[in-house]
Amino acid sequence: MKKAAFGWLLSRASAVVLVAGLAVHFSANHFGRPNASEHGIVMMRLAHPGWMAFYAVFLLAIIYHAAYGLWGIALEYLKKGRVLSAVKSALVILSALLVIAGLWILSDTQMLLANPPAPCYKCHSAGSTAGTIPSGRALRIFQ
Amino acid sequence: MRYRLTTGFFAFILNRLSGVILAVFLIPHFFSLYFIGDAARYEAIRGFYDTPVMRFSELALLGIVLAHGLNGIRLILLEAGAPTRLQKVFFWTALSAGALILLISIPHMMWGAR
Amino acid sequence: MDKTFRIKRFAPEKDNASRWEDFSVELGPHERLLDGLVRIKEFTDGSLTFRRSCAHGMCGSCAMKINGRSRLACQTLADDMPELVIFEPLPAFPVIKDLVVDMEPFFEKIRSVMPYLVNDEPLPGRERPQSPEEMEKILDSIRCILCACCTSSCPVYWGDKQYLGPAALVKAARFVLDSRDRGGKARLDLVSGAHGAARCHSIYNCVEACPRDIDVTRHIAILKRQTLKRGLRGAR
Repeated sequence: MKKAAFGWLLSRASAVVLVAGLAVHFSANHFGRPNASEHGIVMMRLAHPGWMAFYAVFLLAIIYHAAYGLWGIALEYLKKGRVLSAVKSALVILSALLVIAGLWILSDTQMLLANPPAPCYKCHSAGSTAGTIPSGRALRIFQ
Repeated sequence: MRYRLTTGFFAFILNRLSGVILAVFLIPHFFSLYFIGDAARYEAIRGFYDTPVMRFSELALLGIVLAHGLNGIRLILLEAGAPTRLQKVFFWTALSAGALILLISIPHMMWGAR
Repeated sequence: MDKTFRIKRFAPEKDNASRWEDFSVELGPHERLLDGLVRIKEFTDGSLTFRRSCAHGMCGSCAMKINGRSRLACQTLADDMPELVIFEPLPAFPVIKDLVVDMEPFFEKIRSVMPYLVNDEPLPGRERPQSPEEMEKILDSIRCILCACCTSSCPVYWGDKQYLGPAALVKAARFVLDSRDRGGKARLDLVSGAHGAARCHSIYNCVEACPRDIDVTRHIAILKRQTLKRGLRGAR
């Protein structure tokens, strides 16, 4: 019976985190400096543990907030218990997948930072797939 | 005849729509970042986002984020005990602030180096 | 002043679906819309069906959707309305006939929040006194006349018929805020479910619809905070 109140508090708390976090996220990746979302610059930022911690919290907040919001909509418009529990499972699975994917992405950047890529790092122009950089897991699976 | 569209009702519809759009957006956003371990691929994806159409959609995304976030602040303030008589003022303030930030961001989001 | 009353009609014994019917009514400057409806029923069409009782905004019987929002026909001056006035039954409730809706789903929600004073302590004297400050806290919510204008105007209730709705939540808040009441904990548990106070998204349609000017949404926000407080303390 008390669960609803906690869910509500968490959704509002995550909202506050997200408003502040989005301001930081957007400024850092778009406005911070020219070419702020370039690979090298993003990696440099993520080398700092503070940024890692920020993105870990940001990730959890956004997934919880989105799942809570969508669950609220489902509660209001779906009447059948079966459909509702199917939506609930789907939301839980999707949220878990996105959290795992997010943590994977973050850990991937750390792996890349721990194993600095081949000498010519900056010479890869945008769109070029020539030359390979020994790096993250995504690469190993997809190639 | 449908129910009259009040300020709060309008804000609610806006918040619902923007919320659903943002939740759905998370999936492609995470998918793009999935290749962050590969600088070349990452840059290729970044190139894909650097067309006028994609830049405009990113601007729209910023608008949706601003609408949802600023109206969210309004809702939290009201739930925390801000007086009801301010709810419309809060809404129009949030909307104008959002519009202002969006307007200022247009040059950079559309033509800036990033 | 001549008005056209466009009324959404439905007679279950002969209509398959609702239909619109226009009546022209002459109303004086100090007459209310309810006076027009009564005149139509008395002189034009005796089959026109609507609820009315006190005609002075105290009983809540003549709540209906007028020009797109829930309000009391007896509290709406004809002078304040455009020439075309559109009457519909209250939204979100099953229509019985013409402007009469089935209020049972509404009262069911009211009954579910223990809408009565709970106090087993012996009477301190002839009555349970309240200080003026204590009374101030419930002064707003005790004015509710259960007309259902708020609940029928709530977009959340339109979609979610399990939602307790603004009226039931105000009723719960009225007793939670009452210094004489001892049933607060049980009542907070009743409104803290998935279809309780957490479903309110501060849309304020209820506040604008309330003919008694009750600050409905503020009361629901109080319930949200109190259920949270109770949850954080650990339900005792």
